[in-house]
Amino acid sequence: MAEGILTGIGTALTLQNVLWVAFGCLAGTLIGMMPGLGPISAIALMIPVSYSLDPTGGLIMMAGVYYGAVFGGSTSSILINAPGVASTVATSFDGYPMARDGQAGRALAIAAYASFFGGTMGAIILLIFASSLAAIALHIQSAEYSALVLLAMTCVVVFAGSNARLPSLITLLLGLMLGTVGTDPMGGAQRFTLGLLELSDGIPFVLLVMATFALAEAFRLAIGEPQLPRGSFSLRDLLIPLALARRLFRVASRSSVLGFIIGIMPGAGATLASFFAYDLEKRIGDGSREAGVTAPEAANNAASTGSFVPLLSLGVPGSGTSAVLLGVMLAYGLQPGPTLVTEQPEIFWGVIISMYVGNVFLLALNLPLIPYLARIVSLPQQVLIPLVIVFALLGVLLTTFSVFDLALMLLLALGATVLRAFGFPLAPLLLGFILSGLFEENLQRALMLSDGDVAYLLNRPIALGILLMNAAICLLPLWNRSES
Amino acid sequence: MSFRLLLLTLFAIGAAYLTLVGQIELDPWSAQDTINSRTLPQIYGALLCLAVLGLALGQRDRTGDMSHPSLHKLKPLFWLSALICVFILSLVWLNLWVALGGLLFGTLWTMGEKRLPVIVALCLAIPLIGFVLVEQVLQMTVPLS
Repeated sequence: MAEGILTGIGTALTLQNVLWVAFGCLAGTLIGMMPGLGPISAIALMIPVSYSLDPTGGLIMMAGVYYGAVFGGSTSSILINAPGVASTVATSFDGYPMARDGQAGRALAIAAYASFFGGTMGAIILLIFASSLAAIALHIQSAEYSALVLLAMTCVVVFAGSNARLPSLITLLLGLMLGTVGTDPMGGAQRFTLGLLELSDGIPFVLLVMATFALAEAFRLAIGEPQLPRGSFSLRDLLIPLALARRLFRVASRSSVLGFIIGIMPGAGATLASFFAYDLEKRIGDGSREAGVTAPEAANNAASTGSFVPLLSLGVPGSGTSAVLLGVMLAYGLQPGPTLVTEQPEIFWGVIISMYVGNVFLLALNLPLIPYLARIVSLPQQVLIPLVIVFALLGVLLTTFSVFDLALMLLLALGATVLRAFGFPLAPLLLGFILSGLFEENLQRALMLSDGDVAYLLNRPIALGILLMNAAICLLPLWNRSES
Repeated sequence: MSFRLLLLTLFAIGAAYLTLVGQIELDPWSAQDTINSRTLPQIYGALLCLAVLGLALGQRDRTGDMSHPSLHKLKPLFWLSALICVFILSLVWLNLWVALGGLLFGTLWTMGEKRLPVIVALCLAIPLIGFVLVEQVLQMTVPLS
């Protein structure tokens, strides 16, 4: 293994490859900052460039593009509450309020450090446990997934606090219902399309996130009291006080481990990891906004690294991004799978090391830009609101190319504005939407495997464990009430 | 809009959703499945109605920004929505970047930005940057449907 790691380091750190990773980081950040364009779009857009390079150089550049796009997504998530991808939604929960309170620079810096930390932890765990983790990942099947998704939904409602439980449940159900629009992934039936062809593929995620977060936020600002731009931004924002750094180190450590574990399960990915980590931190941590930015950022980066376990070891892409990367690897004639570690160790370790090099470069290149990026939120409200509206609409247009989707987006944004005005949290709506398809698909698949026998879920030890945990969490409010 | 009206609307959404669930056409072979295309939507719809009822019975009236709407407060929302509608309709016969410039002009004016140089600069710069970045650098075409 040590020989493989050294070969990987040697390959990744040649001058040519270092320049490619720097170019990838910059390009990825620029693309990722555009609303609606996330890591998948960024990697897809850079495929033609990568074909002109050798496999190592191409994959290394892609690593830079990937990390750059993730950081770019966090930037728009924090600055204008417009997360372009699902995995950065949780970052906006505390990142955007920090930005509105004049701490945009601090929030961006924490996000950058946490991403770096998550990526580093992920790479270390990957280096140590890669082979054995692949074997564990094989045991995670549809029954375990559906139990895990159910656990995520339960946590969102139960941990919302006694007054917010029913509103959270209502918005979660609205999200689940919106997620059922379109063609049933297993049965093939058309559901809730109202005969409209535009709805047959379901509601695009970018549309919902732009409607409920970006556009609804612009509407909320427009009907609220005018606020003066707050905060000053300098390179000092990049320095985190030692006491805070120590606290965030603990947050990042546990979030990275959690993120990595969720990330190795094919299909679960960075989104679920970031929501879980955020939720966990709000329950067991100090509940500060800084921790609320650190946890999802560290978790989604560690999960992204974790998703390379099933990709490289089993040839199964664990996320959308790794699916696109799988395509790039296949185009280079590389075949990820169980034999890759033993037969082509230089490729296996080269890819892992290059992912990490991309992470390091991203931190070095983008940290100096943070004070300038942070100035976006200091724009006066009468300029910021139109810009958010335009970026949100453009983000949806560039993803779906559909005028119908813009009309749907406006409708959903107005609905979200009303819900928010009455104190309904919108995060569960988004989580419900993301998990809807995942839950139904896995549940149907698990029941198909067992000829419709629901007891199958209880016969699998890991699934049973998760379901028992779920039941215990459901009982928590009753226990708390009896104690108080 | 009052909180009760909002709850009534949410209940109506749940009820309408449940009605639509009944209209989902099932294949003969999947109708007997434990979980078919209707099962989970039925559960979601029923749970929504129950949760709304629970909220209506268990909580006092909430006050939100919209519980006592004043026309003055909601005016920008109406105007912004109207401008977005005009933008959407204009995409059918106008170039995207031109329409975007128009939308920016309208929204800036509505939100109270009256400095003409700022308006002109933003209305020209943002669509131009968008055009160069999207259509020239990234080579993306925007075929609207």
